[in-house]
Amino acid sequence: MLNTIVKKEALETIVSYRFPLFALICLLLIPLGMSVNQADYGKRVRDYQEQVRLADAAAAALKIQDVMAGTVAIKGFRRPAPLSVFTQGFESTLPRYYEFTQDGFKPGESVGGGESILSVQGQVDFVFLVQMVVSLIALLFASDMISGEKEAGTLRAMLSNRLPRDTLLAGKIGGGFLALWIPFLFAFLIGAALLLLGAFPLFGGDTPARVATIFLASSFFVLTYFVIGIAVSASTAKARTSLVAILILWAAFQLIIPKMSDMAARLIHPVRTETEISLQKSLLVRSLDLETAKELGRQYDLIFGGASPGTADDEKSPERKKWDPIRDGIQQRAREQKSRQLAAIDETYLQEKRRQLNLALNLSLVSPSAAFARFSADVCGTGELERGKYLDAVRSHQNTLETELFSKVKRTLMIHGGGGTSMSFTAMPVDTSKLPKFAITPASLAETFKADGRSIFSLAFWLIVPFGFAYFKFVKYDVR
Amino acid sequence: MVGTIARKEIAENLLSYKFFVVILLSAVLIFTSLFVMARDYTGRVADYQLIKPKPGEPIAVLPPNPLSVFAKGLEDSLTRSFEPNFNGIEARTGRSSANNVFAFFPAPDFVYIVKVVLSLVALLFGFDLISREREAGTLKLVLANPVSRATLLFGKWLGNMLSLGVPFFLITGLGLVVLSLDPSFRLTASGFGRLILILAVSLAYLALFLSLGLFISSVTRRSASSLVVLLLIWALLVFVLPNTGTLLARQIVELPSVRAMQEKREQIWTREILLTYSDRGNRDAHFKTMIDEIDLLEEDYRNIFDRLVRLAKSLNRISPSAAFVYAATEIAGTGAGEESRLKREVVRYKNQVLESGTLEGNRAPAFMYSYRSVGTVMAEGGLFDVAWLLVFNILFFGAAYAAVVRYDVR
Amino acid sequence: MIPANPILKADDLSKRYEDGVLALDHLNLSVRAGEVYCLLGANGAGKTTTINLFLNFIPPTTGTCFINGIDVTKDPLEAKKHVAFVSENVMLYGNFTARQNLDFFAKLGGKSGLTRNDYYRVMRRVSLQEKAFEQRVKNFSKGMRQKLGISIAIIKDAPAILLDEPTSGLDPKAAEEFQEILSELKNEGKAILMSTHDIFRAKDIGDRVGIMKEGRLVMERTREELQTGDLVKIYIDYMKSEPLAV
Ligand SMILES: Nc1ncnc2c1ncn2[C@@H]1O[C@H](COP(=O)(O)OP(=O)(O)OP(=O)(O)O)[C@@H](O)[C@H]1O
Ligand SMILES: [Mg+2]
Repeated sequence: MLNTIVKKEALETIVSYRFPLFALICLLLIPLGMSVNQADYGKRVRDYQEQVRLADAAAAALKIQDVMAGTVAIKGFRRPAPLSVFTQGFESTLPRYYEFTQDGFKPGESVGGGESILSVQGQVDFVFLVQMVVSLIALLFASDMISGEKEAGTLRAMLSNRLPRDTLLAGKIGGGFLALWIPFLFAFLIGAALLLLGAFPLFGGDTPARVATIFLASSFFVLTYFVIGIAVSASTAKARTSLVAILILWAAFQLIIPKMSDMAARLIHPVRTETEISLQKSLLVRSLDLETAKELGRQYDLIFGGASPGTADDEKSPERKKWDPIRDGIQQRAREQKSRQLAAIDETYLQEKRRQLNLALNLSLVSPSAAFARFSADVCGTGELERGKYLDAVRSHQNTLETELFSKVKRTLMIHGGGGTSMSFTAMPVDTSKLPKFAITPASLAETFKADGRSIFSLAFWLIVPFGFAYFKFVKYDVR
Repeated sequence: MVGTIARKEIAENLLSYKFFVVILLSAVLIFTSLFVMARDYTGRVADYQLIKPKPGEPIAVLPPNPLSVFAKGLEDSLTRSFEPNFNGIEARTGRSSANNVFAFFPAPDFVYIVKVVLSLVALLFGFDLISREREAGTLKLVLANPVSRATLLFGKWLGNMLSLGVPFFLITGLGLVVLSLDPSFRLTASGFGRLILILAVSLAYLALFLSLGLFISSVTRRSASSLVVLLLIWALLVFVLPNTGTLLARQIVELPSVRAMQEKREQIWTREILLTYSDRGNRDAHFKTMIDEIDLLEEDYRNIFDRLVRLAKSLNRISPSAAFVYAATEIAGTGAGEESRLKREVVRYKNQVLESGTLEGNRAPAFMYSYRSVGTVMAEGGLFDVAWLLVFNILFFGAAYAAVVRYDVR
Repeated sequence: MIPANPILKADDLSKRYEDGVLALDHLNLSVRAGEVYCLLGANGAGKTTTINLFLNFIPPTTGTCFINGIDVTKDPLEAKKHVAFVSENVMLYGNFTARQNLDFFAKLGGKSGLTRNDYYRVMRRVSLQEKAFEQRVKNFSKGMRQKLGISIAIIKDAPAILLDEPTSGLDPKAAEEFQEILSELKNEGKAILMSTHDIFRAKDIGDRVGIMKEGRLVMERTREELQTGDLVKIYIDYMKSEPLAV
């Protein structure tokens, strides 16, 4: 019995006038989106390699004086994520590189920065197409599966046979979805074949697992929307009403909830801007440096005030023996205080931001679309997870550089009682070619699953609940 | 007669729950968008106060544009700070106002809401105008009266345009009133004029979707099927087509890679620097040729890039959504045209600073920039986009007319 | 006392649909002022097609329809000023009340300046229940909608009225009342063309009765001629006989 229904539903879907449209959209857009994004990715990788080469060459010739003067910066580049061919995510908004200096790190230009003109209209990639276009089509196909049959009177005719309603419903969902899924699968396979033709490393490391995960997630996502469509169809009496209801639901899930959650989070947990923070930090640094310089000057004057000129340069003089540890102590304390206070500012800011982000995230997960987009971006290494890993790597690299390089350079600024200033440098030799390389440890697939528990939960919720709802509604459906 | 039909359409809309759900939804969206974007704007203004160059500092940075609340466009790129130096110009991103959750999506500004959500609303108004009347049998009754089909069509169009446009203006107006209570948000008279223009263009954009709805509703027999067809067309017009042009253009126009650019730059640099040593007398001249050639290199790049942008734009215009976004952002002063003009102005400023030798002494002239006037914007492509939207309007309405005249009323 | 020139006139009317079906085959028919003409015929005989042609909903293949002497294809708008129409099974505007529906169609028919009471009067005349006047039509029964459809035709006050199976779905009492309304309208001098399957009522009410078969008018009798014969028998006989050889 179930077989008959599945076959009939699949056939009915395939012969409907929308099916060729759908198949065309899938088979055209999905492979196109993938291969175009691959071309883009290739270009980004070439640019990346070139920039890394240049930066390495610059680093090899790096002189400690340049670092002191701040004329050259040490850069750490992020390698473009290969799987960005499936979803761009944050790929074009993340900075290409970070610059590391004595005073901290700062982001360079993002990939999209220079070419933002081209992205005014948004991006088209596989995940976007699935999320916006395929989901809409799945809803449309499902929208009249029940109310349409009622209007045509065939529902009554079917149910006048010995056919349990749950079998009918299962057959409808199975058959209808199958007819949608096959062209989708083909589109994906064609896209993957195109990727392989373009020498995309599809079979390296855990890439196959990730690609399979994306495809499975997309399939489940489309099924989710299909079942939601059936559920709406089973709760309305007219095909037209179900369409309007479905449309509003779709707009809410795709456009409104994700946007609104972001807006709401910004209202509930406002955060200061990055400029404000960096200004606050530089003000703090300046005032601390000033204080230190004054303190140094005062001590210096106390020690060398009565001594004859030249004692300051004589390493063996008693004044000098007294002065060196005092100076080092003051500088050590100052450095500690500075880094403590800067870290405190960073930490509170980070917490504020994290709180806002978490709120926005949790609110947005009400929508399965948001959950799907997040999850697939994380699987592809272009999502929130990657952004966090990138920043972590930048922070730890800054710390490494701090001990390996920046601390080897000492700059002593003094402000004396009379108001005069003096400055001296000391630098220890550093082999700049031995400096550690900047690298981001990517999140493993298991880690991704763990981090995205909430997204997965949201997706599962939206798959199961409409199923139950559709069943509940259909059993009581007024077939007249 | 047109009046009677239009009034009936309005009354019918006012009596349907669909109308209220849809209008309420749009109102909530527009209000939140205005509110959030205005906050974003005031945040950026505060930032600007912090990073604003002091007199004599050789930095070019534009203050945030209040119209970016409505059309964000390339505002983030326009309000970067540009610092001229001997190697060229260093651009620094100010505050990135990218979305937290969905950097994948453009900012939820007014233009986005009109482009995506309100176009859908216009379709919802239009999708069953003819087919539903046929289903209800009223089409026959109406046409049994001395009403021509053209009158009927126009009356329906007018009635629904009013039911769509009046709430649209009321909601936006109310939003504006609330915005104007915020002292940090100030629109000049000309800014206000631009805003009105944006609203007018938005209305033209929505009208086109209404006509499209009318058209499809008069080539289909059942209103359910007209909606399905319309949604597919809508998804294509709003999401897919506005990007395919860019994708295609990227394949056609090859941008020089960072590598090529860097190598050329290095060649020039080494050559001229070596010359400055061997030919000490003409040191300044060599510096100047170096700067000029590097400028030329950048200029070349920009020209290719501009060609890419132009091609992408022309291709994207297959979709009226693209034309609408271009027109609205250009009028607001956040469009690609403004961006490319700003970049050229910055290059000019850099040369001015370098020539006057005021790069170091903090005595540099201030960077002056005034947005293109509406007239210029219109002349430089804005008018074309607006006209293009009107062409779509005429096309769809004409198609609707042709279809209604042939429509089988039974 | 019937005036000579007909208000509704079909002249050599033929209609062949795009798919080749010949729905009307050289039909000649006329209805004078103050006359009720009933069209009988099996399903698919071409009754609705005739009425659609009179309303210029479809163009004729040959021949002409005249309303009040106006050629319907040449000047459809002018012609439609002179005709009111009741269709079978009309849904009307579901979200409007009965009065709002009436108001709209009255205005379309060129009747402006009517008051609420005028509408109520017409609705009372078709014996729609008072409490339905200001209710949304969405939940009306088929008969109630049909009554409202008739009142829409009445309020237009046109010299010709076309009715396509107006009594389908009416309860017996309502059908009786409908018959009375028709005779009132007839006495006001309207020319009425009605398609129906109700032979008995056709016999009672029709001044003339025509029977259609496969697009042709195979019989036409006046009331006087019918007094003697049994219409049911005539009808059945015509239906049974083989297609007439021309
Ligand atoms: N749009 C159409 N296209 C093709 N043929 C049609 C069309 N409409 C009607 N017909 C054909 O024209 C013929 C006459 O149909 P019509 O609707 O006039 O019959 P009718 O007398 O009104 O029947 P009923 O009593 O069922 O209402 C039928 O054979 C029908 O199949
Ligand atoms: Mg009929």
